[in-house]
Amino acid sequence: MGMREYILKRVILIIPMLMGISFIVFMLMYLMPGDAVDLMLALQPDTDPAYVAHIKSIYGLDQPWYIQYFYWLKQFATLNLGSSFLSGRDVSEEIGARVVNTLSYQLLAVVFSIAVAIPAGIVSAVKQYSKTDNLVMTAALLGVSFPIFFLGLMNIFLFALILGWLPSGGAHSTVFLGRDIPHDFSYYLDYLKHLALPTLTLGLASTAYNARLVRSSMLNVLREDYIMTARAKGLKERVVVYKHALRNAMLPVITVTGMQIALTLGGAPITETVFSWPGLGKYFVYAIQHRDYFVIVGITVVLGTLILVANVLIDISYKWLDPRVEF
Amino acid sequence: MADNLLEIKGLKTYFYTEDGIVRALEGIDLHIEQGETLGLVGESGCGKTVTALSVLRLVPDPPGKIIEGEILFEGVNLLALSESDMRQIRGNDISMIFQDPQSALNPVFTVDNQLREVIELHQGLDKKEARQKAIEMLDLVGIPDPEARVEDYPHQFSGGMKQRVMIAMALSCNPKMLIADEPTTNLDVTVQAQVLDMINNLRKELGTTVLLITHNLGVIAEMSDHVGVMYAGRLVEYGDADTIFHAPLHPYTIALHEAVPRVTEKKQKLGVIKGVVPNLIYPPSGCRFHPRCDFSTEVCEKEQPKGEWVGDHYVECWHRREGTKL
Amino acid sequence: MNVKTRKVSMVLSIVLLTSLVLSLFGTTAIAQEQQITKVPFTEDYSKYPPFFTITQIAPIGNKVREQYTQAVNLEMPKIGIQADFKLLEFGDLINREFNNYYGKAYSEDGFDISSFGWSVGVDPDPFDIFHSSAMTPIGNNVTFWYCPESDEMLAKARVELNQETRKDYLWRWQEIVADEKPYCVVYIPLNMWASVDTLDGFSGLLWTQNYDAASWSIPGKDTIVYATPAAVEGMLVWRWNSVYGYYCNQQIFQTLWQNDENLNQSPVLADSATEGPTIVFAPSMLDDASIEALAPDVKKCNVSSKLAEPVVFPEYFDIKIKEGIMFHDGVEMTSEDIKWSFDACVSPDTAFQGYGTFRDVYGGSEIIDKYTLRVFVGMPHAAWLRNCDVNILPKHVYGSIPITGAEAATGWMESDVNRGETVIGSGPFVFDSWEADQYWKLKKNADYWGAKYGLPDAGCDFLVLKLIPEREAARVALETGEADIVDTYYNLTIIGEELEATPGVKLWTSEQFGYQHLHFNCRNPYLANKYVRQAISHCIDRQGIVDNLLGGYGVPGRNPVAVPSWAFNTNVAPDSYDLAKARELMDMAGYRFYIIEKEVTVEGGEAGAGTSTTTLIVIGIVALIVGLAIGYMVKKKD
Repeated sequence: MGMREYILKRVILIIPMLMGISFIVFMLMYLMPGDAVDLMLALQPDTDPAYVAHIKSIYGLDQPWYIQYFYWLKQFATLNLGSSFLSGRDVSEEIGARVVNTLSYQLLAVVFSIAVAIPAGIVSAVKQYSKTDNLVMTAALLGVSFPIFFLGLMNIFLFALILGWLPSGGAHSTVFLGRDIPHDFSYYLDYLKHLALPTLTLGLASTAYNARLVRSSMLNVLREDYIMTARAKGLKERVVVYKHALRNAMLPVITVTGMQIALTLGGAPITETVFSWPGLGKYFVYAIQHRDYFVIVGITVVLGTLILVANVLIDISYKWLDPRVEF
Repeated sequence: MADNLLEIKGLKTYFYTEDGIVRALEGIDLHIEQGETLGLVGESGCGKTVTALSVLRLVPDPPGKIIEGEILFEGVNLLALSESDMRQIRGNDISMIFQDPQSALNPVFTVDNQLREVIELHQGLDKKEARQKAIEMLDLVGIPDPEARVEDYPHQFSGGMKQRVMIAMALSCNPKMLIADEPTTNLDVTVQAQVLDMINNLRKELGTTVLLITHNLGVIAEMSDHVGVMYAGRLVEYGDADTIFHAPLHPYTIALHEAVPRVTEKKQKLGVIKGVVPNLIYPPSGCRFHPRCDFSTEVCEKEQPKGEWVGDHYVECWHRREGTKL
Repeated sequence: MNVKTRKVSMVLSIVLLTSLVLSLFGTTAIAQEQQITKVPFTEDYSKYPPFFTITQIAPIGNKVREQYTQAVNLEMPKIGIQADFKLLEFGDLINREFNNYYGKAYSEDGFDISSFGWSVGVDPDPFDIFHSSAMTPIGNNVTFWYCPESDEMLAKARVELNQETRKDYLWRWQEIVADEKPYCVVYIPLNMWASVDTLDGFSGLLWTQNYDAASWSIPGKDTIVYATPAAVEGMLVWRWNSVYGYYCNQQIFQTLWQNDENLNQSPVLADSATEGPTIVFAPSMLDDASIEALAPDVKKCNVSSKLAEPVVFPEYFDIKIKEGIMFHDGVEMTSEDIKWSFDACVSPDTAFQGYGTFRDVYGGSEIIDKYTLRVFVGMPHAAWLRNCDVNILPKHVYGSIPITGAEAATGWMESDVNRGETVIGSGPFVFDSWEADQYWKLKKNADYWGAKYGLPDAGCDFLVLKLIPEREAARVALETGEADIVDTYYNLTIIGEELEATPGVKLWTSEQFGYQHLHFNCRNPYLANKYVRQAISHCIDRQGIVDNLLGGYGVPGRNPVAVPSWAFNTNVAPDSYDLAKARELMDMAGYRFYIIEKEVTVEGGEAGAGTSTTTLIVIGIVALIVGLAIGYMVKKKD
């Protein structure tokens, strides 16, 4: 099967997968006690029950969940994700306002983690059992064991409070908040500064993991015969490691990175909460807490699509890295 | 003993493992004459491959280390060379082919890429010239349609073809010496003969000296001018092929011969060398072969036998089996 | 096996079994001497079997609440109550208590004892939480507690316009609650804000109690950044999902009255209010004929069942607003804007969920002149005027958004005002911009109308509400200058001592308008007994909770009324932490602190009681084994 047919097939498969995901999410959501209106009114002691019922009927919350799912599906067929019970804005608009923020630090974190993990992993594989190796692996073990919440707070204390290099949270400094702020160079520079800590925190956590992975993968590859062949050719060790070993060692790393995208997206709520980052993860948790059904499903569908697309990209990069792979 | 291309003197290579020191080579003396084929034979784990790797200084370190000895290549001690000088020799003056062509080629690069690499490195050709040379080499080793196949990846070749590619790669810089480590072991029987023939022809054509490592006596018989027999990190017998095959003096060599099936004789049972390959961390005292030797006596147990040259024939044994005719 | 042998073996087995059973009975028969020991009230009862088992629940989230619930949970076995402890997700808890509960126990998806917190107003109206007509799911009387005198006090207090008389009712009511204990108030936490020490004009009160942002200022800074922990949703003018949307609304839009810094009702938009003539309001459950029979001018209360009995109350109030109130677009506010805002707010079609009480008390309105609106009473309510706290919006700007019909709800949700595109109010701040999950930015209203009435202009050029979900992050932001004030909802009291020691930081505290409590399901057969409830109340070490869990930043709880309120009955003494007293109360509830200790004296007397019982049991078991063996052998013989 050619690459094009393969991609087409995967893309078409996304649709039934999204339907499946949304169905499960709908079912789970309605298993949670209480709905959006119940929770909004829970602390307003004197609301007339008839009025509550009226409001519920406005939002269709008086229908059984499968009927509600059916309506949602009908809407979704026209690529309409519905609107939020809480804010009244379209779910697509709500997601649109946040998805870039989430993707920006998530992708940067992946880049950061790979950029740091590969050299670190290689060094410690090539110099196995050396002091450098021990240092890198100890650091990686620490990195893996720290919960991201703790790591985030430590970074805030270090970089924002003690060193004062970076802002402690949010996406923009106060002077850049507002309607008429020009989106010029300094605006984006400020955004990048705010991006640094979430990226660093999330990146460090997966760097630790990836470094260990690169190391073990590298160690395996360095034992391969073709490495000996390369050395027997008289190639420099650098060429042997970075040309012949690295590309082969990257295969498992790419696989895991692909899976990590789903995992780190799952960790997004924590990172975004610690850094007051206006992203999807935090919003997702908020929506669940407030039973904002369409937002929950909407985010699930968007994140699901992103993960599926990421998987397709991973598969393609696989083909690029390893000519043996056939679709 | 005229004109030795390679001379190995008292080579000791140890591996420092967690379980202890593996004395893989315990003082090897060996020489290869210019233009000849030396067959190195012995059981698995006797140190054949380590010898080859030691020559190229590719013994994985850690855990392996060349402890002492000299390896003289054209009179230059390779062990005294700097790493960068050594790299000049690898692939250029001495090249090596490995026993498993399936894994000896890097799966993620094209044949062209892997061939050019060594040509560009040692011959200073540019990319285009190197590619031309690569195609020539593929043609030389009998790969059909080399212009097209040069762009293929290793997995698109059969096992025998891969070994041909390996040979092309090894010979592409006209090396003075080719080390072939069990070049046919992992190939189909029909392909084995072709590859061996090819090595033989190319050797004659290019005048390459060959160190052929194998545990297959048949291969040695067909290819070698001289034969070295190794056992547990020692060279136990050396001589010209005829002598080794028809008048071996070492009990181990004799035992090896008896373990080979022969078409010409009708034997009920193949000879079996009793016992197992010795543990090289705690090698047997005295002659390392004595626990498995039918002729061992007290002296074998106590003292390492001294090697003895009789003309071109070297034997390391207290009890030379004079007059044994096979 | 033939029938005969089977019979024999059966008989044999029965005889042997009976002898075993009898031998055990015999033991007790012999050891008739029992010694009855009364456990003194002062002794820990937890080593004895509990009288009954119940389940204690608390919502996950508030750490202190989780901890005090657990602390109480550990005390209860000492008075003979076994309590399981379950932390529930908020939605689950709400469902159990408010939705499908009807007085059922925890095992039937209801609850037994729950920990919760209410926030209450300056003018307390406990009717909906404590009156028997407000039992869930109609109202919020989750306890299903019923007390006629309490009902009477609550009903009277909620329609008494005279604050002094109202106070008498409420004080009496608090005495009843203190005795009946449907609720155990545990503690009242302190609100705590942290700010830069140069902040001026901050009242240390919640924005819901005193919208004083206009008076805030920091010398040398034109922008004040206020850090809040929860999401800022949108400009839903009459509906909000978090208090922070409300915070912002209150700076842009204004209400007729608001609290001053002493929590007294003071006019903002309103100039004056005049009571109309009184009439009798009858509960809506009365039929028309009965209402006719009461008096000719009786008006039927339009709110179902919230009025316990007929009351005399003004038919309407004439509310006059100030002249010269200017909306941000330069148009003057008139009574028409008030009427339209009131109508929009209460319309069920708009699905605004705020102003529950206003929806009850509002009975329609009529424009008298440009500045006067006659507002009819829908339901008598003591704090009637205070409840008319609806944001007044310009009708000329938003009038095109429908307030009735099917389009109303979506129309408002999708409107420019909700999206933050056209936000026009009358307050000291003008809406500048807003971004979901990030910030609200307000700008000083340069043309504020308030000066001529002594209302202050904004003290800063910009007020930014910044969302920072994490307490530690907010605290760092304060220290790095990224925030100027840190909100109280971070539970700053947890790090109060550290903040006090931080240079450049100033703390502001006030008692919260609310209380953390345990409440009981009074339909639970065990908890229906008020002595049990009182006993549990005496198991709570309130002072210890305040000292240890709140770091001293709190007040031990007494009454379910806001502490700073005039209605708080200072005569009611807080329940002491006294387990002996609690056991005494359990005793009064009928749970006798007696324990029967089996002390057996065997006749003949040389063996100890324990040994003889054991011996008899051993004999019994041996007999059983022998019997079985014989039975087996008999079978075998066949």
